[in-house]
Amino acid sequence: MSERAVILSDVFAVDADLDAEFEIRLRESSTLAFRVAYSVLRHREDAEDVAQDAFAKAYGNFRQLRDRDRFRAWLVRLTWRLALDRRRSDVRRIARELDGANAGMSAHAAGAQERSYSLWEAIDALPEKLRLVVVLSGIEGHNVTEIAQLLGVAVGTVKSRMNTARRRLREHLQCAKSNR
Amino acid sequence: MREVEPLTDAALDREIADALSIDPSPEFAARVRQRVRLERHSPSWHWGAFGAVGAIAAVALTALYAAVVRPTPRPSSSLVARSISGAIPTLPIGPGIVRIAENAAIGKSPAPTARPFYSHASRMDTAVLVDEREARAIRELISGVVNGRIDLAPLLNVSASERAFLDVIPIRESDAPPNPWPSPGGTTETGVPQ
Repeated sequence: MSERAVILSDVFAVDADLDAEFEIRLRESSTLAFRVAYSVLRHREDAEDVAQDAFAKAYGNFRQLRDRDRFRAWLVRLTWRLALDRRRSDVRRIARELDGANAGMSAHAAGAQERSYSLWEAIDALPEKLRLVVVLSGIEGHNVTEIAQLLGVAVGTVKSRMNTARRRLREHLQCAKSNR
Repeated sequence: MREVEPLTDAALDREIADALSIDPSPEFAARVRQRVRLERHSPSWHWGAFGAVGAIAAVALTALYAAVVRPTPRPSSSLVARSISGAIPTLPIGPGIVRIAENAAIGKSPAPTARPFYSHASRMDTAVLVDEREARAIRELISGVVNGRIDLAPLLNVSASERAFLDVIPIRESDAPPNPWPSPGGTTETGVPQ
């Protein structure tokens, strides 16, 4: 085999390794990316589109993102940003899955739907920094250390944001309940 | 208004987790794989790769040019305006210098606004562009390659036929054309030797 052929085969071997690693990241992080997008868009197909865009961009930069923690942190932040962009550009078109879905439901299901609607309303009312912490804590049961890694901030900052977010959510939800 | 039971942290976390416990469709991963495959084979992907390789090659060529091809700065004597005795109809240099020379010849100092254009050149002469040791090393490298002492073929990684094409043809004395200009010495029609 000539030297050039050896070099080319090395290059393709490296590409194959990258693809294999990317496949692992895709399998372990696809739900994370989807749920982050869903928490912003509340629309399954839109969330899948955004998560797909995020993975495509991640693949383009995968040589710099081979570390698992770095990849997940980058993916979360990118997905969040892409979802916010999509939501801003598409405010009128996006039909929330919760909207108009009450028709033909049992009383119990309608009640659950209403509670869920109130919760999302309360989450949407939070400032962005608090909202992201709340969403990440609700996905895959991330603890404060994992959330701090994903967001690239101190653990103390996450704890503080979490407490503030919980207090505001509680106030919002109890206010909504008492008004019913 | 009815009494509202307090919402604990655990209950709140559970509600949030329930609200987010939605999974992507089973086709989602397959769609991402397909999208990645398309991105990898798209022309823009290739152009991006070619662009990166081209940029690196351009930088390397520029560095090579700066190191090897560009001539080293030769020390040049700074130009000084001075009076020339004798009648000289014209000087074979720029009009600014002629004016200064004429002014000097008739005993006038040049106007302060008429700065000679070569003042910048004299400042530039003092700047060192290539280190003397580097220049010597480059010259030795070039002469080594020309004499055959140094073989760059393994470095360039080219075949024998390609190397033959890249060989530098040495300049021989007999190739140099005869000098058409008369040797300096003695007074000529055009001026006085300096």
